[in-house]
Amino acid sequence: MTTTSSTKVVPSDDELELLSRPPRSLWGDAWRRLRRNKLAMISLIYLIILVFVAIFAGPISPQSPGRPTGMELRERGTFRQAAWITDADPRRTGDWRFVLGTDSAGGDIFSRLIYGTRVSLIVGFIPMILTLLIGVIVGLISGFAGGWVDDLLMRFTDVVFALPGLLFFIIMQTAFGATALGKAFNGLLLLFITLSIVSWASVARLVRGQVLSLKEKEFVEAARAVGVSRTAILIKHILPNTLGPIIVAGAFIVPNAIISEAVLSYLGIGITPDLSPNAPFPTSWGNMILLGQGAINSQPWALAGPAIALASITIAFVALGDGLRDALDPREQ
Amino acid sequence: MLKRRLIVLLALITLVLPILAACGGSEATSTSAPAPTENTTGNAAPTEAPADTPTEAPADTPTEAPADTPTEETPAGNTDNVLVVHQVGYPDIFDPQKSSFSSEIVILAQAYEGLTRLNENLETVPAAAEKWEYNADATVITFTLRPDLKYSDGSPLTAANFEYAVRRTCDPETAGQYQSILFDIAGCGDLASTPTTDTAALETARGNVGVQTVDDSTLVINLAQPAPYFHTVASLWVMYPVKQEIVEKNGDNWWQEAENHVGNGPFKIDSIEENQEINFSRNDNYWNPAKLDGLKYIYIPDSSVALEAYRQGQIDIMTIDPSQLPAIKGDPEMSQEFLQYPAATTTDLDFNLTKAPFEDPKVRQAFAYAFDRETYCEVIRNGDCSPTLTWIPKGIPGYDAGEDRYAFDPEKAKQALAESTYGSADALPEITLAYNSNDPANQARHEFIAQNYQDILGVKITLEPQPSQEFSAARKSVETRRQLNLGGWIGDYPDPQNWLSVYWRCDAFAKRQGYCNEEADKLMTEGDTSTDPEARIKAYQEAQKIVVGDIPSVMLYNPTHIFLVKPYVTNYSQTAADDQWPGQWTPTTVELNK
Amino acid sequence: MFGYFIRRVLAIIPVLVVVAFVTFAMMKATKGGPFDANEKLSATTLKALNAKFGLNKPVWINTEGFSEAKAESSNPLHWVRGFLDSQFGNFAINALKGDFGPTYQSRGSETVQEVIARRFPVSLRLGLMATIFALIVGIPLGIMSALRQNTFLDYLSLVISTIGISVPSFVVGVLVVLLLSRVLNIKPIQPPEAWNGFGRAYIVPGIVLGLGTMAYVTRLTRSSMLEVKRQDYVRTAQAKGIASMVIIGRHMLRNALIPVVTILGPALANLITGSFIIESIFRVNGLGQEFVTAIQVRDYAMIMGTTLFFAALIALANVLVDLTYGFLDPRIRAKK
Repeated sequence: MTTTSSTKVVPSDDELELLSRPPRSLWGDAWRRLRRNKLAMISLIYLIILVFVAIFAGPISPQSPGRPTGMELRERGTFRQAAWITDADPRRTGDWRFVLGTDSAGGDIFSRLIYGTRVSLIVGFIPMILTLLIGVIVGLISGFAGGWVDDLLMRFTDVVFALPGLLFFIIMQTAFGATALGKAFNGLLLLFITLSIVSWASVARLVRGQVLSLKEKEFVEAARAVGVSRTAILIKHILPNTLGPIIVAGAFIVPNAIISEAVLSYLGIGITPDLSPNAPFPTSWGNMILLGQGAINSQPWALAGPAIALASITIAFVALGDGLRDALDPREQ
Repeated sequence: MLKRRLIVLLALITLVLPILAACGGSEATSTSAPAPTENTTGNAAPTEAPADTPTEAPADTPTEAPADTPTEETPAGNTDNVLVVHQVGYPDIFDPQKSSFSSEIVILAQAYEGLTRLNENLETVPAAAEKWEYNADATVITFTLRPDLKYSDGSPLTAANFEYAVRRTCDPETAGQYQSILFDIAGCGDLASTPTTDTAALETARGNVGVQTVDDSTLVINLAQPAPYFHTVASLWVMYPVKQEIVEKNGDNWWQEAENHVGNGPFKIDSIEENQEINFSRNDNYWNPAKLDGLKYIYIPDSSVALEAYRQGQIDIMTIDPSQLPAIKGDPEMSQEFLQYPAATTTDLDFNLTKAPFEDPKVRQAFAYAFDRETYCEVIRNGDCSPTLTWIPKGIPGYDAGEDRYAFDPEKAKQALAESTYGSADALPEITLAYNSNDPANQARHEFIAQNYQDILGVKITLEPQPSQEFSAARKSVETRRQLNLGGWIGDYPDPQNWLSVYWRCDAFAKRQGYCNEEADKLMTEGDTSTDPEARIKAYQEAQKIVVGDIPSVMLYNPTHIFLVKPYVTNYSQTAADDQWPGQWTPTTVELNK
Repeated sequence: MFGYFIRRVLAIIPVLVVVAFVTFAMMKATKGGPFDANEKLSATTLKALNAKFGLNKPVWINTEGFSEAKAESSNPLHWVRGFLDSQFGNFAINALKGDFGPTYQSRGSETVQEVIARRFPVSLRLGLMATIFALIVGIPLGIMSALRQNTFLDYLSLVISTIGISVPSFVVGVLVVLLLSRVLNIKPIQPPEAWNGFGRAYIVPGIVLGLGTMAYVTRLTRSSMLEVKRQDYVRTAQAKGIASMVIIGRHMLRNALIPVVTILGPALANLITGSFIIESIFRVNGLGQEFVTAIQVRDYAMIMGTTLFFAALIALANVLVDLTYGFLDPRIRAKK
């Protein structure tokens, strides 16, 4: 067991220090604890680097991410292998101008990967915020209020769980596809908003489950006994204790959104291509994974590139989430 | 017929992708067929299979040599004298009078046979009927059956069985999706449009269908109008003689049980395992017994899994996905087993003639001149198609080898746009190119097309991905159809009537694009009704000249069939209609030499 | 307890009614109909098909049918029937009798319930395999991670579980097939008999299907174990010198499992209704493809049938989850 520290009777130096200093804010403490978590910090730095890559995709990309035609297309070739691979077919032999090779329409995979970062980091946060917001509010109210409120809200989440998501995506596409909302971020904004609407239910139930257990705990009873208001109990005592599962769920939302986009593209609902030369979002990782999967035999890098990118960003999110959870845990030292 | 090919992983996309025959081949449709421009002729002897790639091995392809180690045979492996064929999508239904997709028909065509059939050159030859005869104005056709025909269970097969097939097809209670192909038969269309609730009218209409059994070996069909091509229609699956007793006894889902498929084709169905496999064995009662002992269709929706199964020797013939072409052509072994030949399909870029700017023929001309077909087929499609400038594909009667108008020419394209009423690209309204988003490969292809027009004409095109069902629904009327989309035609039967009259007449599919040319219509009617074969072809060719010249669509390319075939499979034919596997129409000659 | 269970099961009914209404409305609002796949379909045939499947009726209510029934009969029941002789009305009435109608994909030759009955057993086996995998790998991995927080084992568990969620199953599935074939010479195509019974054929697709859930279970277990680890009663137990395995088992895990159980309900329902991607890669003849295909091809009867079936499963799974809360934490039970 690693819990030896918790059995200590004598306060540790840290605790003494805490006692002797003016109290610091929760966030200040959390930040201090987070900084000590190496993996979390590496993840944070990695994500910050990706943000810069996303912002400066244009200058960083060695090639234009668009679709070549004519001679340029013939020069690039389709399904060209990664730079270090030689192929009997000269048109498929690696070329350092196209580091990770080219895709089915002669697009430079490396440059597209760089541009794809934008979608993952900008648009990917939308479902994270929306899903957590709706899910946490519904879950807190449902679990804490109990009774008919709980019944009603939970039956409602059952309905949301059960509705065919794919159909809902199609409907949203039909209803809003032609509006400004539908066109924003090449259709991905609408896609991810829809995704949030169908996926908050899981977070709501998760939070509710925690609340059900927490509200019977001694410290809540105690707070109630001394006359703390219900809202205050909910926000000050219960919410912080549900952060663990919320953070875990939250860390999975961004990768899940990216994968969902790929799977939905499979089903015919995905990014709307934009060919204007300055298009900010020419492609996304989800889209690249989808196209790469089709080319798995001919151009493995078309799949490997975005898949590795996605896996690394997921690990970063999850590790950062772990670090945050630990940092925010009041009992943690 | 309709072709169905499931895209990569998705078995799901089923109906959608179908390479729908009809007006449609969306790009999705042609998923399967790729063909290099080099070897264009079909019917090449199987041994001199195409493979336009050099034999040397590419160093690094991820694929090592196929494991040919003699591992124990799995049940799915090929044993004995049984040909194992890969199929992509499992069909929804294989009931001759209700089926419409090529994945369904390729099952039925083994177990049943029509009055006529197509040979390796796609000519209509005797099958269950040994001969047929038209009356003078081609309004009555009389089929004479072979003597002593038997079903696979030994029971006699007579003209009455074919009469039942015709009646069942036309009946509104069957409502088979392909019934209209028999509307040339007198009374068939009337019966089909009679409401099933009106019993009296139904009885009358049933009595008026122009088909009668004169005696056991003579079937007379009265046609609604002259139809000198009807003997070819008689080869289609809707005319396959299912047994009335079986259908009536077992109800609508009779076709799900193997033993209910008592047929008259070269094989009989032994077992049906949904989404897994269908097993056939030779029908010894067939008049022209097959050389194979059996045939097995294995359903593998995922193309990478299928390729691995092929490497492992679990399948003998595999349908390739175009994205696999570079890997296959680069593989020393598989490049030798690669087979490619043209399909009886034409893909074009359809305009909506009722929407600006495509009401202007000059704009259409500009778009026709500006399409870089060579680059598209060779690079974007990895050589799985060959550019064309005309409508009827090579190998089908009526093909116009001399058509050379509107070949790729950027200068002429710009000039045509300048001469249009719009004058320049900037003056054009917004142009939308719709495509079927259920085939993931479609996105990159359409991005190329849009970019191509932007680079050459300076036109900005908005891409609109639509889920397949929405895509095909939108294309059914000029109001909902977008200005541009890929389309085309997959032949139902090799007669120019099917290519021109069924598609380009004012009241046919052309209507959905807002195209109508009375003069061409007149020529097509002449072709449909003339009994002189040469005069027919001539009339159709003239009609085709007019249609292609009007540019309701930019003629783009003919896709090819692409397969991997193990070297020990021999004597199979290659026809433009082989949507599922080489030799599917003449399976009796196929041999295994292991 | 039993009364609570009955009450909750009955509460599924309104859920199903709402799901039916909303799904039907969404379905009707989508563009494209069930017969649009065949672009060569003639107008005549389309009319016959619409009549055959009752699509020529009004969508929600049939006022014409109501007037007709009123003219013909004096029985108010007939009037109601006439009023409900609509697409939704007929669906609802037949559904109450347990008949979800003929599927359009099979051209009406089989019913929705036949398809579900045939395919569900296969999906159930696959889903159970996936769930078992997710639990027997996920929970221990999570516990290990929590007990050895911020050590190499914690990071290892992080990487293992992340693979499950960061690579789409259509990628993992294909890679697994290729790997097994190249390395272990396990051929990609299983004979049809392999899917009978609870055979070995289910193992690999089950694992691939369960990867995502496994990842989620692992992370949640870790997080709640850490939470529980420092609770007073655990400290007390430790102070009393209770053996650590007993502490983990009896005291910590019980409380820590609440989030896991919560997600497990819907996850189980999801897993046993299958995944179309896994089914298509491993050629499993399950229900997952039906869910997706039905929507793609606008097979109205099949959409309604599969959705309601799924809704019932989800709701039932959530009832079980709520009951399990009581078992895991008696104080919650006391409230019921």
